[in-house]
Amino acid sequence: MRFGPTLANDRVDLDLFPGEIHGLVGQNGSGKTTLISILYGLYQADAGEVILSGERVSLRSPRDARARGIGMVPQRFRLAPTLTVTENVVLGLDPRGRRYGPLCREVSRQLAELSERYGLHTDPRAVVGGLSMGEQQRVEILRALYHGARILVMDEPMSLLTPRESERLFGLLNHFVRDPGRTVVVTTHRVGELVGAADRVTVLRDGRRVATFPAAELTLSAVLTAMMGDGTEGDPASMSPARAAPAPDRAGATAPPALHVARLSLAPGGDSVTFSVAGGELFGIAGVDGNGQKELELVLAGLGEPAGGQIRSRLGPHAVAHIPSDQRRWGVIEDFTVGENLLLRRTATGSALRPVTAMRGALLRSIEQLLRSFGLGAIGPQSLVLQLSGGTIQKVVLARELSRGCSLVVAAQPTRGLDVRAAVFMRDALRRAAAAGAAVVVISSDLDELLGLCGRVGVMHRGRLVGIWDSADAPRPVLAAAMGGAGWGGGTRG
Amino acid sequence: MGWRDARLTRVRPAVRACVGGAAGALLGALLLLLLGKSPLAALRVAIDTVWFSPTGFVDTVLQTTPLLLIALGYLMAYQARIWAVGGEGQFHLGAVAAAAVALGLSSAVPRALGLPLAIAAGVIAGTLWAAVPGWLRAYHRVNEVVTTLMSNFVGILLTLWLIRTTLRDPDIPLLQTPAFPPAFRLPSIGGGRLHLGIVLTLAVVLLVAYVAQRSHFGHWTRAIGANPHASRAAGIRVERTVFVLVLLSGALAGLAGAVQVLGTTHRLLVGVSHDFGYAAIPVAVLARGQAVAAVPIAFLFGALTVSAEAIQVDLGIPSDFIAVFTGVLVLCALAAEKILEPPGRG
Repeated sequence: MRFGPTLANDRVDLDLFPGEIHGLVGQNGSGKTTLISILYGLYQADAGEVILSGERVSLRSPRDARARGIGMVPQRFRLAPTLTVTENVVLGLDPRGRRYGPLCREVSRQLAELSERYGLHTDPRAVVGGLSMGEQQRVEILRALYHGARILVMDEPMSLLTPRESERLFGLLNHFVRDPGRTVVVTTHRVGELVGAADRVTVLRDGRRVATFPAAELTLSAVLTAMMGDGTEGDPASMSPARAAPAPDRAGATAPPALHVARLSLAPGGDSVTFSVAGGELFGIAGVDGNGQKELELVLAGLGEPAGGQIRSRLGPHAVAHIPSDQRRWGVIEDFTVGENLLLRRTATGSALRPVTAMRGALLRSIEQLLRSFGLGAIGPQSLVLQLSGGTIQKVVLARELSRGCSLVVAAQPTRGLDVRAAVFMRDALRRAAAAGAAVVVISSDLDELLGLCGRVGVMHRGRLVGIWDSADAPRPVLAAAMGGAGWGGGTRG
Repeated sequence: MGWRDARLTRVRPAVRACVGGAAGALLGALLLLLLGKSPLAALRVAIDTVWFSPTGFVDTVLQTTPLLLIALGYLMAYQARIWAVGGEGQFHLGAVAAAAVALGLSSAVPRALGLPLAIAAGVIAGTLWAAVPGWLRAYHRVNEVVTTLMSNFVGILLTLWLIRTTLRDPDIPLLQTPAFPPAFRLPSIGGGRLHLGIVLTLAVVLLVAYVAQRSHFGHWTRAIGANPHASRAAGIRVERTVFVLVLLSGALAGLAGAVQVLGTTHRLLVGVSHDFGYAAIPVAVLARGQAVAAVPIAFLFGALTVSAEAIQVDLGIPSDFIAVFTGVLVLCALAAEKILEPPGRG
């Protein structure tokens, strides 16, 4: 499979056996998504074949794939938030000759049965918009099962889940593959969660299959080594952020706060968020997705209005370096080139009628220099952002935001979707920004990452900052309980 | 500009437009054959009319001028994915304002002062007529297509009412104003019907080409069109830019109205616009944000309109066929644009 000059999949073999959960791992851009897209009929392979139960099949569209019992749970869910679970499933059906009401009732009944049988605990009458990420994922699984999926393909299923939700997901997948003829394929770059949960793991690197590990040989270090190649970063110890991080930097803790957030309400009548961050400090905000982190991120970045309370900082407008959780929405203009995106902050203001400076000469050299210093030397300033992978886009945003010399950095889910190497790079860049004197707020749902990176960590639950702990002596069970809404037992307000 | 990979923005779109145009022409020819008429004869009549008849070329240029001015405003706004299609109403209001100045000020006012005043009045009237839809769109996210289209009806009927009442020439039983004094007519080029408004229009083309493609303002509009959220996050004042875009489209349509009455008709009359505000929409779509490209496209549409009558008289092809053909041409060009898109984009 080739995209322009990029060979995304190069003669990849993948065998799937009935009754197994098969992990497909690789760094960003290693070809995982391309491979499963071929499996689901979204792309057609340039060469090679798909053999299903001994029969050579042609999968020319998702419809073909569904007819063959292949179901897909995409990374970004394709659900209409205002509709119920049943209505979302009915949306994809052929309604010819059926009345809507009876059809809905029938589907609803079947969904309830499937949910019961596979332990999905999903109410067909629930409105999708009110469900958590994990619940929405189960709706997608339910939909695939409704379409008769025997092979379930899941793209990055753990990326939006808490560790407990991931555990639960694998529990129900295990349940699913116990039925005869059932198989699950799971892609991920978070290898750790796969070891112990998957039956076999295939590793892709640069579009090629480098290894397939049977359960007996499945160890974290073996998989990581295969993933990273012979690179020096293949040492599994450095992959765990908590252990890789140096001692939290607390030198700035006594300096006057660069950012003071006082009794901030993120929704009308909402609860308050109060914290201060000093220059040079890395402050973490933990919590399960959907507990107000997104709103806090936008308010801190100056993109949203708080319902109440105030933010005091010694900063002018747009003096916040913002690494958004949704980079494609807030971070980049995909139809623009990398160079235009890097310059976007600079070109966004000033006199409307002066000409845009042509990107050549000194300007071009400074852009190329910036790209090289963020490990992006391989992509040209003239490439369209549209053609870059998510990890590369994240680096482009990082390069732009951190090169502005801001004294406040707001990084939301900075390593979500990044491979191990890119995540290490991102965390190092944030540490450097703090070392240079910036106050850095890191919002993440990855608690280990925050504990390794930040001196202090606050936990958000239902729009409220329920407590702030020192990372050095943070009892993990207490933090985890706080994330689950157990109040702030022992935390100190800062 | 040196900003983008040229393959993705320049050559390919031009090739795609040509393929689409060719497909549209073929389809149009096929339609004519179905009507039992010769496409080649129709083409010959059209070319004869526009290039070789005594009045055809001048008619075409005069038809093209307002079309082009209005389309320039549309295409700038469209870069930000704003469909400000209030040109028809703004054109009428621009014509009314220019006529009011021309008839209201005494003819003692020197041409050097009076004409700029009349033109400015037209521009201001068009801008003001766009202000309400623009403000609603920019600051309250009210759909601009609906508001601008509705403001067209109000503007057109207001104009008709003024022609029937205040501005009407009482001595003539026609719905029109008295002719403007000579001081309020745009100077003729070469003594014929071509006038200085055409030169003015070409100057505006160059100005819009700069603003839309080279200036920071144009950069902002493209950014907003591609991703308004990221544009706002980067510090672009999205609301203000959108408001200014709608105002600019109103200003250009108002200018078109003023130029039309001051240069071409020399009076305000019912039917002063040949649906210019609507005919300019496909011109703007096909020009793809390129002001200079709008010139030949507007000329083509102008030529089609002018030759429609000749084709009807000479060949018995209904003049409505030209409207059908225009539609076919636009559909084919847009289809080719998307179908022939380079791979890897969405």
